[in-house]
Amino acid sequence: MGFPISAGLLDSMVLSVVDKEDTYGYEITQYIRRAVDISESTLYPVLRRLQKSELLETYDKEYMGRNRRYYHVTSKGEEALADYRRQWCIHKRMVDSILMNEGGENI
Amino acid sequence: MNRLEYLTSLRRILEDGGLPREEINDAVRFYEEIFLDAGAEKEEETSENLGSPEELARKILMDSGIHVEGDAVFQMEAAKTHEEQEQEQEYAKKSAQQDRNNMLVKLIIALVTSPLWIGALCAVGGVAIGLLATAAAILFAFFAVGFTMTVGGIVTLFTVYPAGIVLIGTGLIFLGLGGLIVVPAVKGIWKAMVSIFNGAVSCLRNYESDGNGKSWRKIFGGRTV
Repeated sequence: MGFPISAGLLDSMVLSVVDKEDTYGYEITQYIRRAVDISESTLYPVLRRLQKSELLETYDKEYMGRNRRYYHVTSKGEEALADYRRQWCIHKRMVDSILMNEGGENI
Repeated sequence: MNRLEYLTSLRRILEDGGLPREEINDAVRFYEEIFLDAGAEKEEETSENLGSPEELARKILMDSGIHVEGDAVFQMEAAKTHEEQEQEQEYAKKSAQQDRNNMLVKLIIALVTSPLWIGALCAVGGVAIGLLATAAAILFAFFAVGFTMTVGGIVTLFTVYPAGIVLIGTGLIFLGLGGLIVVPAVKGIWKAMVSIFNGAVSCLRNYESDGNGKSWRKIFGGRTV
């Protein structure tokens, strides 16, 4: 795979996945794997980082006789996600302008 | 490795690494859930995907800023991606090959040009030794002439005694001069010989220790074969 995923990009993707619906570690990995080949060991530090900066919070919910840890996007996380999306749009346009020869006249 | 083995091992390594208990529980809980959600029938597969407990623990410890095995270089290594490591290995292989090539080139050049440099070396060495020998001969000549004249003078003293006195006098002058210069001359010759020897030795040593073939590259404008 040619393009490495930066930490910021991974943070924003995880935020986006959890924003759709509160979910748990395994499912987040499975979801992100649709786009990028990552393992749980990559996801764990991302989740911790997002919790530390209070963009994500956790709660436990019973599932088949055990507690499953669910992640939820905080209001601070919502703001961060909106910001990430704006930045991504700009970033994508700039890369496309070079890589795909799109809208080169605007630069 | 099944879930229980894997998680037990992970916890033990994290404890050994000195991670705070709260963080250990957090990590082990996270990976326990991964195992459980992946399904009991997939435990082996999950543990394979996660890599060995040692590797995983190392990652977790490093994310918490704990130096594993107290080795700073190790952290740098671990931070590199797989691709970077491959590139490095490739590069190391290439440069090792290049070093071998350089050694070979050096050897061949040394052999091919041997008539030149052996000749030059002999000439330089010969001149140096010649000069030293001359100095020694002059010194010896002083004594020889002085001694001969003095002895001759003593013999002549009994036949033509004024001539004998002149000869003895001249001979004593030569012996005296020889005596004056003998100590500094011998010291000088000795020093010169030692420095010639040292020069030759350090010259050889420099070429040997110059493993990168820099001196040859300088001479041949950085071309590699």
